Amino acid sequence: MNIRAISARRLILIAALLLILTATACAPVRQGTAWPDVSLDSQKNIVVAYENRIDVVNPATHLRIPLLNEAGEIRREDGSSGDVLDWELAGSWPQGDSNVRSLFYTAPVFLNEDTFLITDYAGYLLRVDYPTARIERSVTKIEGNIVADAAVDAATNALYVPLSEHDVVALDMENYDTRWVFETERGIWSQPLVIDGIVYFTAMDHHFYAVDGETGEQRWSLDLEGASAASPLYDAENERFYVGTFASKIFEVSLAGEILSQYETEDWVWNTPVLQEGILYTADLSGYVYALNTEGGLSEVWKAKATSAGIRPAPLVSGGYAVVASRKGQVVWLNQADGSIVFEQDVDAEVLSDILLIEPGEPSTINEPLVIISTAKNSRLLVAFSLEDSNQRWVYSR
Amino acid sequence: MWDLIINPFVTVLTLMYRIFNNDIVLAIAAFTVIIRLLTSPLLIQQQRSAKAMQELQPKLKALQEKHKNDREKLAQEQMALYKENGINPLGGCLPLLIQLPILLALYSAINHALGASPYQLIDLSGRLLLPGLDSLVPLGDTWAGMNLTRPPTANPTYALILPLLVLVTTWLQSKLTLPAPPPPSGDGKPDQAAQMTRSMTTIMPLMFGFFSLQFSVGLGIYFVVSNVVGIAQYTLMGTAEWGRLFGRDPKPKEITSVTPSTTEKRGKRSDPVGFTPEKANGTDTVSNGTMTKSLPSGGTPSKKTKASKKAGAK
Repeated sequence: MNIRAISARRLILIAALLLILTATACAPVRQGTAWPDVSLDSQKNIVVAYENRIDVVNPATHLRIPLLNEAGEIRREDGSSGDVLDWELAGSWPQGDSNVRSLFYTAPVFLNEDTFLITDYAGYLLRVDYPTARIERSVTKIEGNIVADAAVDAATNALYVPLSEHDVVALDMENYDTRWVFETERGIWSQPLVIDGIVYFTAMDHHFYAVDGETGEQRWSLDLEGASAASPLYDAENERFYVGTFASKIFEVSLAGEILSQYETEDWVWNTPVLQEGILYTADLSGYVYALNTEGGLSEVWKAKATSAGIRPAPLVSGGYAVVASRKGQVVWLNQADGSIVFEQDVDAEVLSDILLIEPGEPSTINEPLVIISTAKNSRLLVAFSLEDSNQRWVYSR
Repeated sequence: MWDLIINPFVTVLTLMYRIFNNDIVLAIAAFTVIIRLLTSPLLIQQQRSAKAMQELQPKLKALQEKHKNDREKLAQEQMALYKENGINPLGGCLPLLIQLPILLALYSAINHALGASPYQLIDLSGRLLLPGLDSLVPLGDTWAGMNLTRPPTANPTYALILPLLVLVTTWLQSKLTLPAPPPPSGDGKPDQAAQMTRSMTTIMPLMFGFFSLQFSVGLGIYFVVSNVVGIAQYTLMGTAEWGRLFGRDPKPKEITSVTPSTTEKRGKRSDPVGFTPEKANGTDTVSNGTMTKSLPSGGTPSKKTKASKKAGAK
């Protein structure tokens, strides 16, 4: 009896330890690299690039758009009689003796309505015929990984590609030759901005850079005290930037690279703030949402704890609301004026991608503004809500 | 629960990074040393327990033989034997179980802190418990021309030395700390557990060498430092058998505590835990209820026997 009692105690102890061990060993070691990138094409279709595929979804039907043949007709299985073929792009590239699956985390760069360029994670730059989803050719291979969108400067016919490890590469869009490479200490995880021939970008090495687009020479650099993984917002009217950092600060920076003012947040800021009527809206990874007055330096209008989990994307500000989505899948409509919570929804998956707004009207056939939330869960890749009443409208799954 | 373990680890690792002037390799090395030192009492306890258990093996085998048809009786006898010899049968594995989550957490902390991808970095957010450390993120990922977030195969060729170092240090640690071989069982067959332990000495280094080919260079560095510190610890504890590297197995260890079990004492005294001179292959003697067994070196039966006057006395 005594032995049994001792054994029971030991069994409980072993079970507890095994539980700790299992919890440790099964701790969330996330697979993959980055979250879906969502953008809109000229027809207000949603382009979602995630993992090995790019899908184009019609927000009115919440189905993929039909694939066309070279004559511009809808393609069907078995020639002309089968089901309509949907638009999707997937690929793999030869590497050594085997093929490596392509991974997409960036938005397409449309050259015109029928052609776009897209980078894959391994550094391939692809040129794609949009209606037919055919890869025309692999334009070039850049040495490095890519997790952020490239930027085009039509004036100088240049494409600026940020690499996740060290460089920004400038390519000539005539022949895709490299014009210059600008090296930083760490990678660039955000899309560069091009203003009057100057390329502006933030880097993981804590700096904000301004580089001459023609020569690749540095104009200035500014220490932001922490890494920055989001593009700066440019206020053209007042000629200044707003940039968030992992040092839990928002900086107001002049075109000459001087800090004009700053505001301390509760946690890392990993988004490009939104500016509307002089008020800057942003959110942080503690779940706080901020509305800051930009007149005479950054000052707080309101600050609200909107969710229990971190908020990666910037708030979507429209219709009197600031809509935010959290890492726990909470989607919250805040009153734009005072930050009070108006509606709450749940998408049942982590949200890290930027939030899209699709307004009704040509060419789209939707009849209300839709808030598009993208999650890292393929079964809930896109979730659409009504901006006005917060009700869920549809879900797009892979 | 996971966060309670991993967050302090990530914080201390980042603090080390600051202390060592943003040198990530020194930070990993220092952090690994600290963790190994903090867990050394557990290691010592585990070694002691394992040693005691090893010394008790002949008696346990004898008990198993004697009570092979009565599991309940066997359990009672075993518990009594443990109690009399002051051994906790779980004393060997509990410290190991406690250490494993710590080592796994250390592994994960390094993985998180390097923040090689957006997913890894966003999972790092909120884990730094001390103010001011956020500004260090992401930690430096380059050392000696190698990108620590990438596997050796995606680094300069000389990075391949790291998996080799992992393999060599893992093998060395296993070789030095291999338990002394127990004697063959009564039927002359080699001990299966010992055989398994020996084959692990070959498998584990190969496995870890292979892992470090696939994992990031930063984790390879952790494996090497962890192994080197482990070897140093075993050496300081006197349990590392360096002679093995030169073909010398450890000296035989004598078992002297042979007390009849409590249950045996209560009832009529039977054969001392199943040993008979025939079974004992000439190495066991029975003397006044006291059995003494001399563990042979390299599996060779020892001719030396020694009776304890104290142990086993009624």
